[in-house]
Amino acid sequence: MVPETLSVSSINLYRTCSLKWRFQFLDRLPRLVQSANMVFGSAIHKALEWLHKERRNGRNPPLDEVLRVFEGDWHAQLLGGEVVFPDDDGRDKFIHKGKELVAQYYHLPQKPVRDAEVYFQLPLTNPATGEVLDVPLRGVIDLVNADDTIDEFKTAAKRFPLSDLPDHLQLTTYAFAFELLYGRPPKDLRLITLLRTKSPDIDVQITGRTKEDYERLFHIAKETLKGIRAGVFIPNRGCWLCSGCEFDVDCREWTGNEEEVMTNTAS
Amino acid sequence: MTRETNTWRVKLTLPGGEPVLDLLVEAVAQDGKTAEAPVTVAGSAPARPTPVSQANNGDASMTEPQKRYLFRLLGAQGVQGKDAELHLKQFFKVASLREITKAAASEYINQLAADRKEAHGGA
Repeated sequence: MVPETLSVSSINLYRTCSLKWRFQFLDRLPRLVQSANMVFGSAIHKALEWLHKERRNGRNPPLDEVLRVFEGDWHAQLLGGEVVFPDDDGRDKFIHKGKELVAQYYHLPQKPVRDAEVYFQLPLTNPATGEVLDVPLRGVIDLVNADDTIDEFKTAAKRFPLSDLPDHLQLTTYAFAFELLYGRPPKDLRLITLLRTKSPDIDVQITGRTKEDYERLFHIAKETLKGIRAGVFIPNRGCWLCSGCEFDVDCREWTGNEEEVMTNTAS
Repeated sequence: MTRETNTWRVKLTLPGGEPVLDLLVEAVAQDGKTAEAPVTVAGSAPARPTPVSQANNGDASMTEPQKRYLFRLLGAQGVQGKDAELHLKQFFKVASLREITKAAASEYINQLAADRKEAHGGA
């Protein structure tokens, strides 16, 4: 099995825990449990998407409506299966913090919206050599503002270190995609983190990208593909993905990759 | 995740000890999974069920994204949580949300989205 497309989240997942990549993308194991953090982040994303699309269409929805959208999505996800909550944070706290964060974001000064949830599937080219990866790159840009600023939204329990910003592969990918889609570089890249801290807060970090960053993206994607095709899937127990991982049991039972898997991925 | 063959021997004897049946049962793992009942570690995730992808009438079930979108659309209208669940069950005349088909969900999503558009003057 060779992936037909490669997303930046898939690349990041492979780099963090290649065995989880195998369970998710190759074995396609159904998820028995979901982590509350994932459900929370997804519901926040959907609420912000709703807000941005309404604003793009010239309507500023009342805050109450956006909060109800958040709660509706949260509730629907909880119906989907077992959700694992951290010991110190029950579902009520999640809802309370989610609403607080959506409200804070709603009241921030906003730029006019060009588009929200921009899907793309594009060839990944090495700008230094012109080499094109044989698998296209796909993804979704959370928000493109009318002034050509790209916004990427995250939910987290703590701030991302500013020192990590230059290596943020999602931002690199979205900047690369923006250049191909719009024919010009983005003005700025903003990483907007909705912090699920004791006092919920919003952190905005701004950065940019150059051709060298796109070259590095190409190499990372190419090496990731090589690993997948060679059937290299290794658990990384103890990494940040382990907490609440839906494939924990499969990971514990794993006793190596079968030859068959390697043959399939290499073909 | 290794391929395994599990073998059981079943012996049936009369109370006096005379053998009646001596059976060897072999179970070969499929798809890289062992044929044993999955081992569940205390406090870990439950055993993986076969995914249900069909409504009772054999049609494809409402997808997870469809369900979430319906709850967002209803939430925007002020119908939330348990009320939204109840509304969907009554609208589709089902006992469980799993019985809603993909096609029916799609139709209702289109209807709710069109209603929204109309309510907000085509925005």
